Amino acid sequence: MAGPIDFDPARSGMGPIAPAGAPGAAALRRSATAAEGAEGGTSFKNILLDSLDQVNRLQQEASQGVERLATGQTANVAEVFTAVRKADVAFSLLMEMRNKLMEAYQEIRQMQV
Amino acid sequence: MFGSLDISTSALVAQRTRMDVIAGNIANAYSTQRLDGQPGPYKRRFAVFATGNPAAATPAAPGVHVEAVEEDPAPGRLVYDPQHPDAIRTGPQAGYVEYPNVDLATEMVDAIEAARAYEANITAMDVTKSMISASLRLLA
Amino acid sequence: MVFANLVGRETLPVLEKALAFAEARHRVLTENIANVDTPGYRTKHLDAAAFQEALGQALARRKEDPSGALELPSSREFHEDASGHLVVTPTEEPPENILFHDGTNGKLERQMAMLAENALMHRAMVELTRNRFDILMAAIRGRTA
Repeated sequence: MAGPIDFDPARSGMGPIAPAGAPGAAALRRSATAAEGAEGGTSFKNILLDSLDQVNRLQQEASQGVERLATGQTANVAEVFTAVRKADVAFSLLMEMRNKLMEAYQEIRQMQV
Repeated sequence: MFGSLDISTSALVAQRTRMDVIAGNIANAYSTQRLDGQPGPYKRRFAVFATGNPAAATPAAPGVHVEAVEEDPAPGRLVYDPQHPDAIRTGPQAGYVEYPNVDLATEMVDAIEAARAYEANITAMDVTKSMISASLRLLA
Repeated sequence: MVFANLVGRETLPVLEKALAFAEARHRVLTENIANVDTPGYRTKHLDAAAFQEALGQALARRKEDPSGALELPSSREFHEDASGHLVVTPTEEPPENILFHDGTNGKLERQMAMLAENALMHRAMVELTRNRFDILMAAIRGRTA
């Protein structure tokens, strides 16, 4: 039988969802710690922020390519169009990630606890 | 953009008129009588182009049109043939028949030139149409 | 202000101006091709390189003042009127050779080549404009389709 577990909600980030004293709490705490990351660099939040930066950078590169094409500094239409497409794909992926996140959040909110 | 179609169309019409004139010249290369009954043989005709498009909504619109179809007054070939019904009766050229001043080689070259210009304007119209199509898909 | 910032920023003004010039140049080239056999006709000319350079200058100026609109510097051949429309005055090329007996100086092949090149640039600008608007709509709707 498991004794009272040293459960620190602030560190695990699970909040009121994780019941104290349950046999699965240890496993929950382990996975929660893993999610935040030992160095704090690979959490989902950081992945999201990093993606935002990358999409922004790709969009700026695409805009610069379009400007260079319109002003005649480059004649490489394929290169410009590819850069634009890359930026668009990255943007679409980011938006789908956001949508899935929203769906997951809605689902969790409606869960009967 | 649709103005470009008008310009190209006016050129097509003008070149087609020119082809008609050339065809008339070739057909009448040996006609020793004139259509209007005046004495003399058929004289070579040519189309005179000018900028502007009177058929357009605004007459000052760019384009090209046939301003006039003029006759070439140059003398024709003289062939001695006193038995010919159209032989000249009097004067120093009595007994000669004057044939039209139509040179078939010149007419053929003119026809090729007209066909080339016609095709070029057809291509220009194709380009205009594809540009309009691409612009229309901005909405779709 | 909201909507002006939505469609007046980034690359959309650049694409619009390049598109307007491509259409104006197409008309001039079509006119030259139509008059290939008109005696005494001088071909009209719109310099694409000069326009692209002016566009580059306008972009550089906007980089210094990011809140300003994209203003195209005027030249002898083109300028923007009060409502922002592009007005072009093509220059006439002087007679450069005496090979053509009817006094024209138009090389039909060169006009056709410029027509094709201009059409490609127009097509590229149209497709990019369409793409930019598609992305804007996707972002507004919050859906990728």
